[in-house]
Amino acid sequence: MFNNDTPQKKRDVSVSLKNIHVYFDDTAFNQVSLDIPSVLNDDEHRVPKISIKEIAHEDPLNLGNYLKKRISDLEKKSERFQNSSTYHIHLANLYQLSNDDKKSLEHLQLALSLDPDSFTNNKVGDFYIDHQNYDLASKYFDVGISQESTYSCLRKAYISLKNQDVKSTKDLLDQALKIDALDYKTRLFYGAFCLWTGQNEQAIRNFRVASSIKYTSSPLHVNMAAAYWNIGLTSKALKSLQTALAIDPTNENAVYFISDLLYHDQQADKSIKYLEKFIRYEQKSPDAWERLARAYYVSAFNTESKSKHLTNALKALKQKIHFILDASTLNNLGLVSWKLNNHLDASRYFEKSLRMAIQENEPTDHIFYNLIGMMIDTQKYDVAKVTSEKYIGALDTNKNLSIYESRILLQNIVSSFAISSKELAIGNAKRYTENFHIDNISKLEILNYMIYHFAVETQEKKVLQEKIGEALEIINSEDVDNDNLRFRSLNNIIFSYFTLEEDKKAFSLLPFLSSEFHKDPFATATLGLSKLKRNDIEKGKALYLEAISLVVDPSKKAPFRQRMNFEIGKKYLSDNELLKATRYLQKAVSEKNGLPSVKAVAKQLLARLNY
Amino acid sequence: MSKSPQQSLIEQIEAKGSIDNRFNDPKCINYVGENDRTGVLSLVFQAFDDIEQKHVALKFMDPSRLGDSYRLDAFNREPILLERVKDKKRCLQLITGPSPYGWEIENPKTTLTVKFFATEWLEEEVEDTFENQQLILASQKLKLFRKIILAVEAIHSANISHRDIKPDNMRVRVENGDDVVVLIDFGTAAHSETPNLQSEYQKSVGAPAYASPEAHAGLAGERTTGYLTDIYALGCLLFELFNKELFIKAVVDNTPFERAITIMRVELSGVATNDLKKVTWKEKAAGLNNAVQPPSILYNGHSVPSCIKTLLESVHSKMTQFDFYQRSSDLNVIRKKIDSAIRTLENELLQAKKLRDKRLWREKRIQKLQRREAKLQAYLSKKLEVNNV
Repeated sequence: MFNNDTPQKKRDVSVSLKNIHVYFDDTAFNQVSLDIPSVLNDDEHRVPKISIKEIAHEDPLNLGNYLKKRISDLEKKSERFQNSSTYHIHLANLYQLSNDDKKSLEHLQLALSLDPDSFTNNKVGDFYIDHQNYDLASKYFDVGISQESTYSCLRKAYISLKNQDVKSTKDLLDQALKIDALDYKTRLFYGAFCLWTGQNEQAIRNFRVASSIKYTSSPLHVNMAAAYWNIGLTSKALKSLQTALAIDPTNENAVYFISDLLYHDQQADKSIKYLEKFIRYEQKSPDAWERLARAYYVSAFNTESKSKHLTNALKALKQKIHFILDASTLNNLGLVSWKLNNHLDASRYFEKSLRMAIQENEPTDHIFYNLIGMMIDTQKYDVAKVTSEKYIGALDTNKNLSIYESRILLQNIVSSFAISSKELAIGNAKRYTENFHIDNISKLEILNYMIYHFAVETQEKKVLQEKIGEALEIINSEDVDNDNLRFRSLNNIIFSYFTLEEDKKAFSLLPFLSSEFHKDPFATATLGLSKLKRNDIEKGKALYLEAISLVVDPSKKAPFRQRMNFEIGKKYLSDNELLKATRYLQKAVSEKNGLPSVKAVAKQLLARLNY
Repeated sequence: MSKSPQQSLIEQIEAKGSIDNRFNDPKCINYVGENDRTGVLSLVFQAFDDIEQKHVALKFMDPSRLGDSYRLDAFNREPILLERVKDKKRCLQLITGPSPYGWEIENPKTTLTVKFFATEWLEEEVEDTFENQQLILASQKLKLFRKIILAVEAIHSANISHRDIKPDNMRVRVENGDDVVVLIDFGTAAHSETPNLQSEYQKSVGAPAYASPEAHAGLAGERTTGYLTDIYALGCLLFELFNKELFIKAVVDNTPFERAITIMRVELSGVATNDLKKVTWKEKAAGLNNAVQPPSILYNGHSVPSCIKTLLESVHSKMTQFDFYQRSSDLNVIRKKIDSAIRTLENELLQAKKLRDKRLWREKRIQKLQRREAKLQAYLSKKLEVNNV
């Protein structure tokens, strides 16, 4: 039985991708981090990159006036304490906090002249790191290293890391480990370094040692999750992220990572609790609201309280637009409103989204795709056809189309078929598959329509063979990871071969469909047809009846019944059992909600029988 | 250029040379110029008390803030609190006051009443131990810290929380032959039963570098948590006794700690009463407790001796917990732990001395043996020579 039912493509609330930050140090300022591309980034060449995070200071402690007063107090006591290194370090601290770098350095140098220990050398080194004078900074850390300071080793390793010097970084980390193999900061740094160099197992080992020293570091567990995820241990990555969030529910990096990972793993509903908790503390994060909306949207289709979840998704998106109003959010709002059957609002959001995207020179394909999808869903096929045609008219045939653009071509074929512009639809389908660079999945969908048309409607053998060949090529390629589409296409090809009386070819493909038999009504019906072809009418009929029972929607049972009667009639006709043939063909013609094309052929056969 | 109100008052007091015919030769100690003022609430004079025959500190309300009812109330509250600790050990003693002082103004010619009060004058500071800590033995630092705890316990036992504990606000007094630490400057102190002077506290009342997270987040005025704010400040001091780095620098470098303060400030900002604020705090801070670890006393370059590292790290961590519900609340327990650390250090010193003595004794013994052996060798070789002859 031919399956001409193109399912609506899964649409999700889109989110902006967030890199995973692997930290080399979970406390310091000017943090250097390894940015691993998001879980949702499809790019095959996902290369981690070193980046520096500048942490902005907001002075939440209102130190401004206090610092002035304290500095003034201490400066007055210089006569008493001028020979104390602590005094100068204190003043250097205070000047640094009040952004007076010159004075801060002055006091650090005084402290160093009084007490040239590793701590003071490290302080001066840190000062120069803050001022990007790495050569000078190294000089001071070298003194610390000679005094066996792990801190000095790590700070110098930081400089090497910034210069992307793998060898020196490793040497310095080895030196730090030699000084203290159980230093938490060294293990954390070493683990992140191993992640950068692709040694994920070693990274995990280092992170595990670090966690045995200090378990309560949230960034450490995120690093561990990144390492697990890199080697494909998703469940362990999830556990590490859960720990990270149990320690610090406000860890933005962890919450985005777990949310994307759960979505990727099709468990988006489980991310809701983490996002909700994060939002309790941080209401101003548009990325979190967006992810919460996505989690509610995705889980809405797997729950009984669909509208409640969709309403929550809508609320989350509305929260997001308090902070960022962009075309993507408006498109998401349109999508959620559509699924809530609020088509008027949905149209308004899509329209606004389009306007904004055009203004900002951003892509509009996904917005059009959603808009046309809604038109088809609400059976406004003519509007969908016109809108998609307008969009397609502006497409460049020389460039590779995006997934959404390819799908808009398919939407055009679907809407044209639905309003019975079949000839036009087939003409367009031919043009689209030949002239445009479209993705294989959309192409296979379009080919399915063409195969159906040439097999059932016009029975043009030559063109049909050609299209089946193209479809088989795509099915055999690795591009189609959608099992539903693969089986649907195979089923249609087998059915077409039976229709063309090319039974041998059909039987050769039939085993590839075996996993769908007795599960999928179309495949089961095709198996029934194969039994008829093998002269086993009883078995064939039984399989057709099983296929009918597998159809959930009662209104869709009629075409199956009609096809069963038609095929059995045809079989009896070929066996010259005219009475039985007439009876079954008559049933096929009189099927109330049967397909007109089948009715027409059945009538023709009856006419030949002089009925 | 016209004089500032402070200048005018100081000049007048110093020129007259006596106040109430009792306090002679007053000298302002906390005003150098308009741009360099160390006392924001008051003007402090050193004077000689003819009755007590000793120096006293005279504290005057800042004349430029006479219109600020909050500052005025805070100033008036100070002698009342000092009255509550009258004759109490380890507490600053009020001599007299509050008394009125007639401040004569030239233009328009009038006399304004400014209040003042007198307390005992304490000269010796504790700041040396903090600013010269690289020279001080760990046991001495802990002994000073123990005295500071006792000073805080003394005012807490009178239900007063100081709320501005810092090295500047401590002096040393000799009591019964012992040096004791005394807290001074009760300008921000509060009694547990006195009402708040403000309905809303946006920032800490004392020095922000030693103020607790809850004080930064809007609970600075809460009486029931005042003593916990003092304990947090004590934790800051303990850190600064063993680290050249200032505690506030370590807090600012501790991003989650600083961020948590911002989060809690936002959370508490819309809450109407202190009781509700405490409920909100309990609920929200609980989720942050694991993430927000206070800076460890074992910070880069610390000087905590290894034999008391674990003990001191645990005491310090409990004193500086972000969440006041998780913070140590019993100074007696803290003091006992400090005692234990002191004993450990003293035992170690004693042990080290014993070992040193033993080593010296061994060395001496070896030398003695070597000497004897040499003597014997000399004797034998001499004897051999004689026999040969």
